Amino acid sequence: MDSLASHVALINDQLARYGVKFGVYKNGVFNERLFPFDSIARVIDADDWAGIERGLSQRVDALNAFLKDVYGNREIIKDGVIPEDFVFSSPGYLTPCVGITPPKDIYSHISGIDMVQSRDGDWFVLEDNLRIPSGASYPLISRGICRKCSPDTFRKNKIVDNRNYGAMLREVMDNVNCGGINVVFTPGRYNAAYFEHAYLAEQTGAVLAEAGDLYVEDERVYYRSYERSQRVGAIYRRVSDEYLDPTTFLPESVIGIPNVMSAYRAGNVAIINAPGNGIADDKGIYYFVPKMVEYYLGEKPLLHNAPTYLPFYPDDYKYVMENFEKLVIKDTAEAGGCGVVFASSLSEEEQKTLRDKVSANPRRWIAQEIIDFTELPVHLPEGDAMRKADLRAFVLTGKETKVWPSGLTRYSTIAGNAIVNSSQGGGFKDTWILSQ
Amino acid sequence: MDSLAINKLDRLFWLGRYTSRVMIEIDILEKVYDQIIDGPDYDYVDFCQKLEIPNVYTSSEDFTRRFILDKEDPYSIISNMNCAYDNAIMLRDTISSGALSYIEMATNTMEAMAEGRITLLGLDDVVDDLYAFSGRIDETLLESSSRYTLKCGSIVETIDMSIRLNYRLDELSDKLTMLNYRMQHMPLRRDGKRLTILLDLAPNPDPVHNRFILLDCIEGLFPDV
Amino acid sequence: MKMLDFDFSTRIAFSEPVHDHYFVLRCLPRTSSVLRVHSAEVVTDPICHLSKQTDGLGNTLSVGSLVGDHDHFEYGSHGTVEIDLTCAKAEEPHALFRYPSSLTRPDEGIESFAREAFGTITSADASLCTEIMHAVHKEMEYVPGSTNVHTTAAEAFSKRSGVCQDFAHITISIMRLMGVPVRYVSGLAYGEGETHAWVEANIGGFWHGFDPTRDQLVNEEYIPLAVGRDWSDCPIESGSFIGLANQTQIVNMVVKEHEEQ
Repeated sequence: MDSLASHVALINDQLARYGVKFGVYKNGVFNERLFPFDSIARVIDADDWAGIERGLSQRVDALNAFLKDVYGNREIIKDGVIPEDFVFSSPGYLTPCVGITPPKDIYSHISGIDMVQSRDGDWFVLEDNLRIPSGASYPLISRGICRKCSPDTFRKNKIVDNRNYGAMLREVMDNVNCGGINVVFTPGRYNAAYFEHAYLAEQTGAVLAEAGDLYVEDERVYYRSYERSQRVGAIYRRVSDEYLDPTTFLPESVIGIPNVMSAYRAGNVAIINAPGNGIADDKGIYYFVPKMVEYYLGEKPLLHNAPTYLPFYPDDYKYVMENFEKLVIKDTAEAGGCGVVFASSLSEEEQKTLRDKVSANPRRWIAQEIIDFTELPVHLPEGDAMRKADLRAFVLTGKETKVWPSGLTRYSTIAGNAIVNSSQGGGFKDTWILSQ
Repeated sequence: MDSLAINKLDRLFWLGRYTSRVMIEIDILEKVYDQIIDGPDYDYVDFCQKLEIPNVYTSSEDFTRRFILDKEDPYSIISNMNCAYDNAIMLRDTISSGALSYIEMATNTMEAMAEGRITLLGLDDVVDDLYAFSGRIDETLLESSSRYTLKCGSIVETIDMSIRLNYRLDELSDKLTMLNYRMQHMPLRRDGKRLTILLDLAPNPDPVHNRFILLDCIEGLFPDV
Repeated sequence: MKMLDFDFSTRIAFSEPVHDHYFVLRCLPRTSSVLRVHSAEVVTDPICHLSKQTDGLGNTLSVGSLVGDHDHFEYGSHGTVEIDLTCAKAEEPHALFRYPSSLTRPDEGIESFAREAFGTITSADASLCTEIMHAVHKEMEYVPGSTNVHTTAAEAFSKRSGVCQDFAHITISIMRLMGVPVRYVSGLAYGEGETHAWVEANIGGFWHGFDPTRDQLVNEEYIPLAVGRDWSDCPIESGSFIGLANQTQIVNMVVKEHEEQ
């Protein structure tokens, strides 16, 4: 580690050389920035990881079963495990996906599960990302660079190699490929994660395609080539559902593939991840994931959610109102980091307004205990300092569900700040899994 | 990968053109830079006319500074380098991260010079990187229609600049022969009439006399890109 | 029982040629326990290959494309159907018809209107639905061109004007508030003119049609083409093309008693 830290300048040169960047819009102008990399990796020992691995596979298998169920027979609702309200009034439930079964019944091929570790060492899942989770490319490329810069570090420590991500992803694509080539479909170079799209295309041997490169004819997707077109069997799309097909979703989309849903419905192409997955990573549904594990798999959930309350249930409502200022309040109608409020940060008046909103429509809100999660050392020019960090683990579902032995550790650049988003100026670390 | 998208061919072709243009312009500008240290002013008005770019410069010094590093000037070397980069990053899956890294490094060096972090000596590094890029492409881009599309773009630009700026005119005949060879290995549609004229003129191009017809033929040779 | 002949077409003229035109049509009668299709055919001009599919709500889709330049696009269908409301069979409604969708989400205006008019009623039955239909019809003015396809129920209701689509959306919004599972229907109704829209509420397991625009219960003179939570789930045509062109549209529609040829 020390040896790695002393090579910071060298490592940064290498990251610049390989264009490890992400795009940001500032005042309407697109800029590419290097993603700040911290050379002090997060280290997870073999035992701890074995538990996480089993818990993550279990969780993702349950989420896949849930997606198949809610777009199919809806047993979990009929059996009263999840109130139907939470499913059918969610904007994540897409009518055009009702009744479609994706190839091999896999909905979430690549799942990004965001976790934090409490100071006691327990892991908690904060969020499931089953639509287009990004970030695997960063620890992937940085590992290669770090091994080059400090081979000794890797010789002396038993660190599981993570550079098989491309091969794992390719297996996932091949597994559901309906005949034809694999493509990575990008919204274009002005997307924040463009580096990743291009890099993963290279790593998986897939073709990088954007709007106009693919077209649909007679329920089949083709790649438009100079001499002759080629059938496309699997599309790892990095375009969100609403822009994916203008004849099914938003008609004004110019970055989609018109009629691709007809090829998908006919079973002639795999879409990775399946459209409609937003229902499973909805903030309101999150509460029910441990119940899904029990319901679909008949197993005890191995990973914990952060303690969560649904004001929809009277007991939870009472608890939330009594402990309001201790909790994080989340609006299920808002996406991602929007609509997430630490009640303690509000003025008395603002708190009252929010309480009133929760009372008026309890179904719309969830509340969570604040987890005091661990800080990790970060190498800063002024010396090492402790910063909050989370972990996005990548779970890949092909013939079986496998967890990538690594992950994206994101840290906040501001002391004490719990927001680790790259768009908020945070950086990333590699995640080392020890083999013994 | 047995057949390339039209988009990709277009980008490979223009990547070839822009990288060649940057190399040739750096070569010329380094000589100009040297000349104006103690010699007469450089006739940048004539240079702009021959390149058919607007003359927005106020003096030889202004020209050398802005033509190399002014990002606001769409005809500057740094702008051409950025155009090469724009095409290259759309081709990572075709040319590989390894080859792309040379374009990244050249672009980063141009940027460092523009921001004053390093001196103009960085231009040598840019040229080194671009030669390394073309060597790496030769050895590692095994799919021949992509490789030759890029190399066609590169030779087209070299010929074009050569005619416009009387740059290494003695090599023109050989360069046309080289273009003809590279063209045989790539799929882009070509304009038969223009090609015939070019090949007829190849043994003795006489670019001073045939300037107009040569430029028209070389610019219009590949109507799809 | 009624036998109906139907024939409808929509012709879109483009001011400039367009290309890479992809579309999904929902223009075939929806077969159900009450509707039997004797003959039905989708037609387009220019002619193109159409793939037949069924979506998750049971609508028949015709999917096709016109890649080359064209300055007009005409689509439609014609045929003969037999409708017999006495043959209705019970059908469990999909739960999503119980919840607000983007175009039918009630706002304060719709909620207070519903509260005042029906707030005390507890049983969601056919007579309540009929009341709602009457109320919407009475409250709203039919003004062609006052709204567009993306207008929400709340927006149309605040203006108190709209066309059949808006009448249907508002009716759906109120019925769902009252706990009735209800769906939007795109279709054809007896007479001449344009395509039409109404609603179907599931009461005691059976779908009952209500037409708030004409203020009448749906009888054997209505031919459903497609259903959804709202218009956006089941447009009769949904297309995407490349080209900067103004569009003008002419619709022809006839539904009449069947005549032996």
